[in-house]
Amino acid sequence: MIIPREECSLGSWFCNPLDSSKPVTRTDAFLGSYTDADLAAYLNALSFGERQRVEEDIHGVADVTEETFDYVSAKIEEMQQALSRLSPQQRQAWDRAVFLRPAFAEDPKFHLMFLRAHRFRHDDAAVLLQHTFEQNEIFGEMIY
Amino acid sequence: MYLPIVQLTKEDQATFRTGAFRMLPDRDRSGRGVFVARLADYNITNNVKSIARRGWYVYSAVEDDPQIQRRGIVTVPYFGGNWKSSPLEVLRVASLYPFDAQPFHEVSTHCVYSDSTRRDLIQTIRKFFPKDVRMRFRLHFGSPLETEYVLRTFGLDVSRELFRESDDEELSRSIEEDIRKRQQLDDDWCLSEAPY
Repeated sequence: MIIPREECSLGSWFCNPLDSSKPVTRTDAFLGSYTDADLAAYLNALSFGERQRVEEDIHGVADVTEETFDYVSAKIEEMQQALSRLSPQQRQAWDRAVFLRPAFAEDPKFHLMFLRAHRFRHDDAAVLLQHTFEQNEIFGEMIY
Repeated sequence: MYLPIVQLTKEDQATFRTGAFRMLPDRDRSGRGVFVARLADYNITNNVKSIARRGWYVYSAVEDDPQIQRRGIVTVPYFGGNWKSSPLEVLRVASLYPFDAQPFHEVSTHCVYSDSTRRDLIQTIRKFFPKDVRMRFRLHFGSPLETEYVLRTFGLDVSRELFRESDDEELSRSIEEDIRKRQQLDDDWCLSEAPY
């Protein structure tokens, strides 16, 4: 079955054959997208420890980080520093949120949620935080 | 961040009441939150961003649960049943959901299907997810009984939600209870301030 290029509802990445002169068939589109071999390649690129971590997560037996007061305080501090290192353009959504609701900047529970999402990797947590606040268009205008 | 139920459209709220997607009230064996999505029941309206907002609403209901923040969330999409909208359209709209902007850890995704013709479609879905999530993506093919036992090996007991009848009264009561609790949370928020 042929999917007309302009009607492919999944966007350009989905209808991007190697040979652009040929029409995209449904089989090409599906099988060319993501296969078990791709997954295996990704998994093989991981270290043993990383693969182990993924498997433990999937089976629900992964260790949970022990959250002592000192550890959490230090991580929140590091996350706030990581946030301040972002460029003003990157931080735009976050700055707006803090302007509308200053408690966001102070609330340790709020920062902790993002730190837990990234297993206390403070740099990743800072990027996630600003990225989350960029999603107002999708989520609707959130309440501040 | 807080999205009260009144910010969902009437169509969103109606779909929410069908139980097409819901965060189960009980956690799994490992203490993780479980999000079940019966994709066939998704009714895609003209507002393509609506489905993302609905998904966010369900997820955000557990944002303030520290246990789920620590353990993460398992997602179980089910591809069986009679589709209300075109599967490709559901996929297209689902791709708008910013999976990499969720403020919690998505531990794994278990796609369940019983029709082998859907396999290519489900393989394609992986492409929507960020790389980290793709590695935590598992496909389960088989009869409801087979799938039930496979999911149990991952600590998940969701067969009742996945393979339910549309007129399951107990489930409807459970969903109404979810909504009642959430509205109570909304009211509390109006009286004080948002959880976040």
